[in-house]
Amino acid sequence: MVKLVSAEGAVIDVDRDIIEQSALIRNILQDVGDTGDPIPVPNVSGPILSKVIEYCTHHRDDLDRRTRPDTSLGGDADEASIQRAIRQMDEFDHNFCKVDQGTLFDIILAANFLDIQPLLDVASLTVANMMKGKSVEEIRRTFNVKNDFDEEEEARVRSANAWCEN
Amino acid sequence: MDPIERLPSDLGIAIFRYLSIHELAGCMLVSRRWYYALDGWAVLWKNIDMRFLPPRAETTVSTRLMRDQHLKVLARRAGPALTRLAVFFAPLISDDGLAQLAVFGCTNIRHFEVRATNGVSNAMLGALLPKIGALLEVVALSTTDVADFAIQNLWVSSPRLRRLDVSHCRYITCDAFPVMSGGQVRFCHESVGGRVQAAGSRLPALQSLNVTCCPQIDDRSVRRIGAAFGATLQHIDMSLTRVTVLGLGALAMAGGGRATALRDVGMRDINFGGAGEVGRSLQLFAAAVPRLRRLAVCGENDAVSDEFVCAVARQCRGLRDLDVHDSHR
Repeated sequence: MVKLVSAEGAVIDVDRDIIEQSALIRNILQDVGDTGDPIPVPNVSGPILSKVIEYCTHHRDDLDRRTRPDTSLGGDADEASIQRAIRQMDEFDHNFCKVDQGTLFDIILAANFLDIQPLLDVASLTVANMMKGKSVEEIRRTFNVKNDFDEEEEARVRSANAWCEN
Repeated sequence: MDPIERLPSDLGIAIFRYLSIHELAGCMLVSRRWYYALDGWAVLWKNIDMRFLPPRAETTVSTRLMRDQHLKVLARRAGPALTRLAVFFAPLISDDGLAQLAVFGCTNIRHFEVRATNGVSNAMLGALLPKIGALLEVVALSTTDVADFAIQNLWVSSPRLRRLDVSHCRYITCDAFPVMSGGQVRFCHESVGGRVQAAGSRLPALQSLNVTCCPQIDDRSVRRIGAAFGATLQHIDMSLTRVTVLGLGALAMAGGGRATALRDVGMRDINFGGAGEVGRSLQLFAAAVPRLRRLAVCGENDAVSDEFVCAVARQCRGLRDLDVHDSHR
């Protein structure tokens, strides 16, 4: 068992093989050794930390998620990881990401801090899917962004991107 | 909640990299902050693929065509991050647009595809490819005015080249392909009086070559192709050219008597030539390509006979697809 201390100071117990999906924690455990001392994760709040642990628990036996995509046949490593992330997103991941935007962004930040690449992929893809196939106005509504272009600027941006006619 | 405001930029990139450049261009209209963020994240623009239209574009084609200034904007955004450029049917793109790739330092392109674009000249391609071509792996220039000069430059400046498609390029002749003499690579300019020019000693390990519908490609070209790339070439399509069956025999001899790597040969609708040498060339060919998987020799000709088909079938155990329709015998 590993003890984690969230931003509020709450101590959370978690199995070592679960939390080792986080490259950050794995490196700490390898470098310092498992002393039994609690590990502080000051950037992550308690509720978000338990969401992250929920994800890691579900995927604890999913070993091929953690390996880097195979690019030995040539091809773009980045492209391969994008395709893999899209392919790997399963039912659990979809439901896992059905949270409000604030929580979702906090999960992205936590996954980045803890260095859990598959979780970062899943959460980023969910945000990207909120923009796919939507008009500009719909995207503004989705994320509650105010249009601060004046007309002249907007026309300029439109003409620079005229090949795609949005 | 605004993701670009809420998240640091590396995580913004992690999200937006799932969008195509068409979708990105739409997102740029959301707000000023989005515009400047997306405009600055070069890595998002590394794959400029114009072959497919965005799903929501229904209106007339004319408003959607790429112009030089659009290519300039995209080249500026991507810069050295650009790894793939695929432009298909863009009659408004000219030399000025392509020149921007060199201006903005797009020197890491791996996939360069400019097809059916007749505003682009051979001189421009010849000058551009040495500047941006050090990492090129796939080049497709079909249905352009590209000629021997640009292709010669490609052999010298792009050591990683694996695939080349110059189909439907009417100016390509045998001079586009180097001559091997004594381990040295040379270019022979037969069209300008047989001038020979040394070009170093190494050639890219070309795997795939498409010269379909190049009306000046003949047996001599095939002989040069075989000598230069015979060891690595796996796929060649020379349908609808002036190649005869002697070219096929030359290709078989390319490995210096050893088995060649060829897996896929396309020779649709070519004139196989006189009867004398035909049988021997075909026999040679059938014996030299044990790894052949697909062979297309269809079209109206007298050369492909039962014996040839039997010989190929006997030698090439991996053969999956043999197309001989419309053969007279």
